[in-house]
Amino acid sequence: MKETSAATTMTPLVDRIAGPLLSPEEPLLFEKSQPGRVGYSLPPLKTPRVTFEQAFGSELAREAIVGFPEVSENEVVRHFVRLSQKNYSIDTGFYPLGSCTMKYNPKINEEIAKISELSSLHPLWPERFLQPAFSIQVELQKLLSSVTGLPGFTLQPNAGAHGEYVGIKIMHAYHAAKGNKKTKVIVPDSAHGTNPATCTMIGYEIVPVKTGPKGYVEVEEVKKVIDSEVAGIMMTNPNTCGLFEQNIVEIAKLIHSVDGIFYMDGANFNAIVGIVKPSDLGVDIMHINLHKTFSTPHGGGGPGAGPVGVREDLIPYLPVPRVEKRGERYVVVREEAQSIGRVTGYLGNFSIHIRALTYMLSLGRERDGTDTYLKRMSTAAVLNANYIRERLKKHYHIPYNDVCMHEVVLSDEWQQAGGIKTLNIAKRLMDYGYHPMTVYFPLIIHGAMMIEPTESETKETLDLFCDSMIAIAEECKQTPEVVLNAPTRVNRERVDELRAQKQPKLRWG
Amino acid sequence: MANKEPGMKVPEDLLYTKNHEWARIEDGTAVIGITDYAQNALGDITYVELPEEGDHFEIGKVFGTVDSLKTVAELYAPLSGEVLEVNAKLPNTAEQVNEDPYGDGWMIKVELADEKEIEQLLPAAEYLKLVSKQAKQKS
Amino acid sequence: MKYIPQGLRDQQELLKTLGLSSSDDVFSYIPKNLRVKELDYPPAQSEIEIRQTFRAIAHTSTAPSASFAGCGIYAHDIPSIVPFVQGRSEFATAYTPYQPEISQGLLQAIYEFQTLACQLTECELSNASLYDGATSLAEGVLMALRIQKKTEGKILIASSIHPHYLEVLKTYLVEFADRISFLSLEGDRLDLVALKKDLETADVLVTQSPNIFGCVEDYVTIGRAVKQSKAIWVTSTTEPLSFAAIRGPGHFGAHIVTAEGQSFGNAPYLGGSSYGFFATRNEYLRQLPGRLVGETVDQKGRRSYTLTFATREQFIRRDKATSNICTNQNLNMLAGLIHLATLGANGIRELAEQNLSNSEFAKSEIRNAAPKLTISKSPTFNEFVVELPTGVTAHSLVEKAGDEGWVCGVDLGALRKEWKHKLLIHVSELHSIEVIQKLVRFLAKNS
Repeated sequence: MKETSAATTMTPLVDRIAGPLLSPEEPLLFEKSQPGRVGYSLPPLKTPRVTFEQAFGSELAREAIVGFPEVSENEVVRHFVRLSQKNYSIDTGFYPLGSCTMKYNPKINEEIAKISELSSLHPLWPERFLQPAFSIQVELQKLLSSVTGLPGFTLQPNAGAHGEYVGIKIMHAYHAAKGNKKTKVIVPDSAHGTNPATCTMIGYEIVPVKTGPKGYVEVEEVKKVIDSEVAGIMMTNPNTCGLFEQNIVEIAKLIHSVDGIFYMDGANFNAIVGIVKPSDLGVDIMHINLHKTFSTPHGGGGPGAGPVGVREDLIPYLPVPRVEKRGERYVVVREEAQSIGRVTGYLGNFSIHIRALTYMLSLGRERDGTDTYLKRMSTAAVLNANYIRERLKKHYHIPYNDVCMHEVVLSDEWQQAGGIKTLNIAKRLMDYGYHPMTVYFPLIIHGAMMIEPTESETKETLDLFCDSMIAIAEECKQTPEVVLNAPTRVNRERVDELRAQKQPKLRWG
Repeated sequence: MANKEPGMKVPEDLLYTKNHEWARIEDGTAVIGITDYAQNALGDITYVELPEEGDHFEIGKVFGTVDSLKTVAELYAPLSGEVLEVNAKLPNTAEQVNEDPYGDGWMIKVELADEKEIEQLLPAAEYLKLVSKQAKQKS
Repeated sequence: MKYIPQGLRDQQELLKTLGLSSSDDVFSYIPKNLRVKELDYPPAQSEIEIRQTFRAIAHTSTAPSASFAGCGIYAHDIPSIVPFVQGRSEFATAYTPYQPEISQGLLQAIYEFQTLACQLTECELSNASLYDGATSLAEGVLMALRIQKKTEGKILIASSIHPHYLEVLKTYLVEFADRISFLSLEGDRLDLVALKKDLETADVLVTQSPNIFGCVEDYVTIGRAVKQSKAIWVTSTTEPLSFAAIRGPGHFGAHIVTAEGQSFGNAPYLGGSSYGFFATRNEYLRQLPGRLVGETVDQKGRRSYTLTFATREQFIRRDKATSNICTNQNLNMLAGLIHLATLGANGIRELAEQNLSNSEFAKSEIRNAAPKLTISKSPTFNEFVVELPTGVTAHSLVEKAGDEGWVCGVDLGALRKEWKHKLLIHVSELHSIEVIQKLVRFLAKNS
């Protein structure tokens, strides 16, 4: 080992190298490095050798990269397999992380995405070679239009937040084209942090509206702030309290009355696919998180995809390039006068589009032809969330205890006696073998715990989870210190986040 | 006014805002910082972003930010004026705001633009009432 | 439906607990008139049908028998262990590692990536990666503007950057449009005399190397000029493998270094998904967009990793955040990390040298066989421009090769009209001498 950090020198060998079996301590790649080890193989060079110095001169040419690791292939595999085992994942167990829709990621999606005729497509090949990719993208757009009722779609945004950016840019371009003087966007106080961040990026002022006493926005509150300078509203529906916005149609009308744009954040779309078409609610622009609703893997933080759908008259503003079907062939449209322009290097996260389309085709119309499996998906997700609500309502405070959509939000109000807070409950949940729920969000609920079970779970899983939550509620009363010190049964105990900032160490060496 | 409870120190010689800033007025200038109550509520403070000397602020406008581990709080100017001096050490020793909010944790010194504004600030007794009430609501 | 375990019996039990009679009742808050009556949607497909569907789609056109296309997306060898390890469920099906106690693996991997990114770019500090090379550059310029908060100087952009990157930049910089000005070229590289003068009034300098013509810019001279100015220098690189052959921009004094990451570990996939490098100096830590992992300890004193400096990010700062970004294309970054780990110090050099040598070989063979074509003397790494004589457009050559079932390069005229005689050719470790000779014969015959 080349470097031993201060944290490890004092530890006995058995703790340093072993840890619990199947959860071993793993040094950094750089600490495993030994000069001369190789993990790659290349054929011998068949053309005359040209050195970096010959090509670029001594000042530009690079010597060996300082600190780069040298590790054999099997060591690299073992290193990353060991690292992988230190993560909780959907395939490991129940992952009730609210607002993130941690549903099962079907393996056929992965198989299809790996088809080499698709993965090897180069974005700048002549169009004749790219027909498979274009047909997948157009088909996906078509299905997204079906479920949202929005006729125009772009697949370019690489994530939900990127989709928001594109959506609000389109809002901005629409007003600019009409010569509207618009300065602000209404955002409810329960919104995801990305909503206000996005509006600010585009230069809009944020006008917050309060969530009403029942957990959704009241029309009166919107009336108070609406005027001719309102560019639009950004609303998540179902909202982050897990409730369907009761006044959404009326609010949309109000926004339209000042020629404003109704933007729906589709983060929670999983609750209503096949149940409601956002266009029927008055939605003008919407983004969809393919990595939530349409089952593409979260990947520990991406890649995702955040397609944006728009109503008919906003189609000209969509980003370029666009793929269109003309006759039997697909072509790329590179220029469009009113377009907001290009927002990504090429044509979006195609690898994610393949997976989402696979999923959407898998969940099509049922055999008897009546309903789609998509509707069944949303129904099951909503039923599961309500079941959890019902089972936990006597044990945890539920600020808006009413029939919810795909997620339920609890608070720590009844557990605070022994100094326990939401974070402690979340950490204790790890000891029971679960990934914690989303905590402290939405901000409007003090000590919020947001639970989203998705449709992927069995009743037995939900029951065991609820039993665990109830057991923790009991521990909060009987043995609060156990909860306060959690977790103790996982790979790491509480990690010192203050130290990480006070003594920043952001790279090895 | 001695108070041993964490976050409840409110020195009598200072003036306060509802946003939990304090000001020490001397010869047309004011030294400004955040209160013990504010630092306690924020928890471990990791960073303070301050304006530069010569910057001008209107009363109630944001003049900087305080980062704690999990949140960022904005600092609102208790009084209008031009920044004469900045506690240059603070960005790197932000924990001083936790340890000594009324002393080494001071933030900026301002030359007052309008001394009449002082009337808008709260005296210690009134501020103490305010934070006592807020503390109660929280628990 | 195999992904939805809730059967009819389960459903009835759930409904009973809830005191409801039908599953429709959970939607009672959605007015009936708003509910979907009929959805225009195709029938569900089984796994067998899905395979058939996509196999048919995959064969709607034939794959080219050879390709010399690069221009920002590069096909390289991907070691077998990359998809094997990257595809592990524990990585692929995890969320962002917000809970460090049960996410040490991902966090350590990001920490290792940050280190490798610093080593490659010769910078002090790297984030956990961004969306791609183009958005990384845009975020880099926005960050440079945050650093230069009080000035109104120019944003100088090299005319030699990839036009797609420029378009993304323009989209992100709309409100600064009147401050943008372009650096002129001297042939196929930056005009360094003009650059020195332009820098006097600039806040931000944006360069790309290798540039859109594959040419390596003179960062030695540019770095010196930047040091004498007040500009923040943001660099971009579309081919990160070039970092193994050419010193990192950080070495020459670049303040912010961005790059596309696809070449390491990721197949082209129509240009997505990939990831973007983003590295800078320690002093700009507070301005850095995106995620960051740091080392710390747990309660027992064991070395641990955690996301840190999160207060810069949108979920805390909301409308005051450094960016609205909340992902780092983690799985693509992971593929890059695994690839870099297998290559190691020697492999990355050898790989880069094969790219350079094969590319130089192609250049000299074309020069010999097709004297009417011009190839510039400027240094290039694994990509270069063949200048076609009047009367021959790159488009016509690309179409002709297309008719023969292969891709002879990228027609730069498709990216900018005045470049219609420029054919951009990428040569890598994957091109055999035979394939290179095929290209040479084709160019000799058609010029």
